[in-house]
Amino acid sequence: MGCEVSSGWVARFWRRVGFAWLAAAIAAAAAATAQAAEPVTLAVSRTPLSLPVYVAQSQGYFAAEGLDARLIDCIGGHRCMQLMLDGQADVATAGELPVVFNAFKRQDHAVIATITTTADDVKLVARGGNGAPAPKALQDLAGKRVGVVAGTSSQYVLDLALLTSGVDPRGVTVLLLQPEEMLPAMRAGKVDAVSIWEPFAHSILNGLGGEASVLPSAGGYLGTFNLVAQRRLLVPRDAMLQHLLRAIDRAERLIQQHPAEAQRLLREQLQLAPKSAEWACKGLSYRLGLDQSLITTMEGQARWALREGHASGELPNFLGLVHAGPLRQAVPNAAGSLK
Amino acid sequence: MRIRLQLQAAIVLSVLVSLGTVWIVAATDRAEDGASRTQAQAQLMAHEVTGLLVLTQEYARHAEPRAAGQWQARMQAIQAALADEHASFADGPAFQELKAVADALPPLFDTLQLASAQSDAFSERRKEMVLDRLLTNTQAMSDYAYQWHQDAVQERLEASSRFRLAALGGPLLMLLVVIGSALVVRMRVLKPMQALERATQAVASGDLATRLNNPAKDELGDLARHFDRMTASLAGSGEQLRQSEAQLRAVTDNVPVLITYVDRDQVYRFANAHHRVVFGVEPERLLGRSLQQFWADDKAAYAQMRPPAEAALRGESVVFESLRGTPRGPRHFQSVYLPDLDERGQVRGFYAMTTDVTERKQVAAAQAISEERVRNILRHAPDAFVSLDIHGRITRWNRQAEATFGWREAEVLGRTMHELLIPERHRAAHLAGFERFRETGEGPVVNQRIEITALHRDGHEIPVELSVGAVREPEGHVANAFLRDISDRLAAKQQLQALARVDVLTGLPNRLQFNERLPEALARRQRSRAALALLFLDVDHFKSINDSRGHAAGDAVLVQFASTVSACVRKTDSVARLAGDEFVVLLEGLHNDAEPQAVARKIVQAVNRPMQFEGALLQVSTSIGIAYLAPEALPVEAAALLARADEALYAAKRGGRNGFRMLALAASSAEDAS
Repeated sequence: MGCEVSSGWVARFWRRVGFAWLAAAIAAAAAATAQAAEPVTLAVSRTPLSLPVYVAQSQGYFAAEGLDARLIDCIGGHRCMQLMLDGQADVATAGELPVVFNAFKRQDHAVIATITTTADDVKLVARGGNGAPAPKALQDLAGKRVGVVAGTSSQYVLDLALLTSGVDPRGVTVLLLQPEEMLPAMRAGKVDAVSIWEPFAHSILNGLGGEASVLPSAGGYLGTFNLVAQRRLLVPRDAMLQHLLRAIDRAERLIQQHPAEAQRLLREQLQLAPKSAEWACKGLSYRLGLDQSLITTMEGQARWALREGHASGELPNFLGLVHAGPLRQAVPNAAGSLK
Repeated sequence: MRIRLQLQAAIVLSVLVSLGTVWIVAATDRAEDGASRTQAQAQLMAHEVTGLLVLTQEYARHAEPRAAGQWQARMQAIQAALADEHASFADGPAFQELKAVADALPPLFDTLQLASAQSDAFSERRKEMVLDRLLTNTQAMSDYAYQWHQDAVQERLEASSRFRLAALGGPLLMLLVVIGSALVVRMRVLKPMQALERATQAVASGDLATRLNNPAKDELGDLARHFDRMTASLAGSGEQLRQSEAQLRAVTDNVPVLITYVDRDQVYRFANAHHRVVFGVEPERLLGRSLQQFWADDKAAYAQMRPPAEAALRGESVVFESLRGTPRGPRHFQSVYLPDLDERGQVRGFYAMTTDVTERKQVAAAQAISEERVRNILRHAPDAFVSLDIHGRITRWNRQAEATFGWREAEVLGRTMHELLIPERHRAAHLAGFERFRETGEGPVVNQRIEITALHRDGHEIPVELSVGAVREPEGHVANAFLRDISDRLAAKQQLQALARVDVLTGLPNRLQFNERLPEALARRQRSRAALALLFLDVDHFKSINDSRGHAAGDAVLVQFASTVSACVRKTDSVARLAGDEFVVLLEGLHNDAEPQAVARKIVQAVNRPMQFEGALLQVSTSIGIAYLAPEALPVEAAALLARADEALYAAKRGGRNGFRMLALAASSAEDAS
């Protein structure tokens, strides 16, 4: 898997010729009919997973859809989602875990689409200490201090990997850190390992030089990165969301069809070195969708949160936290089997 | 742009469009096929994943090895299907995600099996965690398979629409290319061609002012410009041609000759205006009709002209005469047929120039008659007629010439005149004179009547009167000569001359003869140195005889007197009657002056004898004056001698008549004697 999505040039040709002008015509018509651009604020996590949003913004797809999109940078989907929940943004980019954790407390938000899927985004980076080599297996983490970002996939991936590998997470000391705190914590020896997503994983590895290593992944986690909207926007502003999703869909197609161009945009947006961008992009699949498995995933994660004591309360009904209407209207083929 | 280039571009475009259409149709067809296969695979995959989900749940509930075995078998089938990338025909993100998820499942299932075998609390937590993950991921597989299927459906729909687009668009594009090419051909080729055609028709019908004025920078534009230049040049040369044709037409129309041009099919292509004059036919009526058609009403004429026409068409030049009917009646024509040859010597037709020679023939006939008449006249002319050519050879010799000169016509023709007719002694002069005549047409004999001496065949000379007329011919002058034998005339003339010197009444020489004889006698005296005497005598009182007795009596007296005087002198002496009753006697060879006086005395006595006249006797006397010229006397003029004699007569008259007186001349003293 990767950003590189090969496709016959004939298909590309037809997509370009056939749809580019159609889309341009529709966009022009939309722009002409719109009295004024509709403002929308997006809280966007600084991660390669947010690439479709960056592309849509930089290529003017939002504007073409009659949207005046404002992007707010934030580190980590959990923070972006918090900004959205605080009313500072209409839509946030976030993994499914912040949705799961918030669902125990509130229901005023909903996933409107998955923009990226990843099997490998969150990595367990361990370091050697005091002359000892860095741990090579998950079992080596028993009794170690591991830093995680609370309420995110960071926390879930660590537990999944440990449990799958036969290590009781309760035998591991978990320290709650923010992504940007992890490299200093690792350097300071406060933690032996961290569970963190890109591009932080890569920068921690780089930051620690030869002392750190990435532990093999386990548990078959498939992460999703989603657009989460305030509930108050749903239905009344479904039309706006449809425009938003159409713009994102165009961006996804651009990424699939012109991966090199997309990666260039990503490097510019996140100020990444080419090697970092290439590393960070591994295992990412850019596809607009909203699948039944998202609900299954969130239900499983909610059960994990309750079981492992990360959350308390009733198991939320995640069907209510998914709003497929706008996507089904905007890109019918992408809405999947979700009803 | 050049039309060829445009047409080539159209052809290339057509070929490209055709190939492109075929290629696109084939490619989309292939894509559609692939999408269909993918769709079927995705459906199959969805079915397999559903089975996997059921087996996962079944194993989680019952942990039966059978279920685990089935799960693993099914998983292997799924992985085998996903590994077959060529067959899958899917490179979309959903398929990639499906593969990633599928790869993660077997370890998870192994972990589940491991956890299921134990029943401690950690294993339960672990089992739940792994089972959740298994179910979630299997669900994801199902979603991705669905999405894969949807992608395939989408791909297939797109391929179908592309196929339709290509299937419809290709021929449509071809149609557009064809229409475009047709428009190009129409605009760039057909229209200019039509213009060119109209222009060529206009030029063909004689309108050389036609111009195309096509500014196009293509082949037809070039052609149009060449055409314009050509018509301009044609207009110029056409004008010259028209002028020379008009001149030629004017010339041919105004010559009194029938001129036609007949092509190799014997069809008239040109006829001049003279046909209107001769046949009363507009020349245009001949054009386009064959000889046979045109002369259908005059089969005889056609029969006459057909062989020469055929000969001319074989390349021969023919001259012939024919008789054809015309509104003025049958006319004689002389025709010249000249073949018209092309550069290779092939006969294209012939020119016919036909002249009405009827008048000429009539003139010739008249001339022949006239010549015959002249010949007849000359033949029967009383004079000899001889024609000479410029070499002096005889070309004509009439019957009188035969009679005069003794030569037959057949004998003389071709022989020269001088050898036959000119006496030997005159030939050199004759030849010189003839040479000058030949050059100039002039000479002493031309248009003059002169008498010459000609030679008869038998050698005797004949006096002839010659009259020569000169006729100028290209090489010189030829002579027509009339010659008349004047022997008889000369004889008659001599007789007349003799008659004129004799006194008719008395038969004595008259004054004319005496005037000839006296100088001759004086000349002879000069040579002989003898004496000479002239006696001048008349009849005394002759007037009274005439008056009283009548002229007859006077004439009788004069006759008797003459006879008497003549009887008194010698035969060698001359007696002449000068006028009336005046007579003279010339005595030559005298020795002295006594002799004349003796003669005078004798005459006086003889005259005194009475003479008979009508039965009566008449008494007559005479007075005589003698002029004596002694031998020693100086030469004297006849008139002076006569005057002396007359003076002596007067002296005799004064002396009483019937006597004589003598006067001598010069060196001797005058002496009277009675």
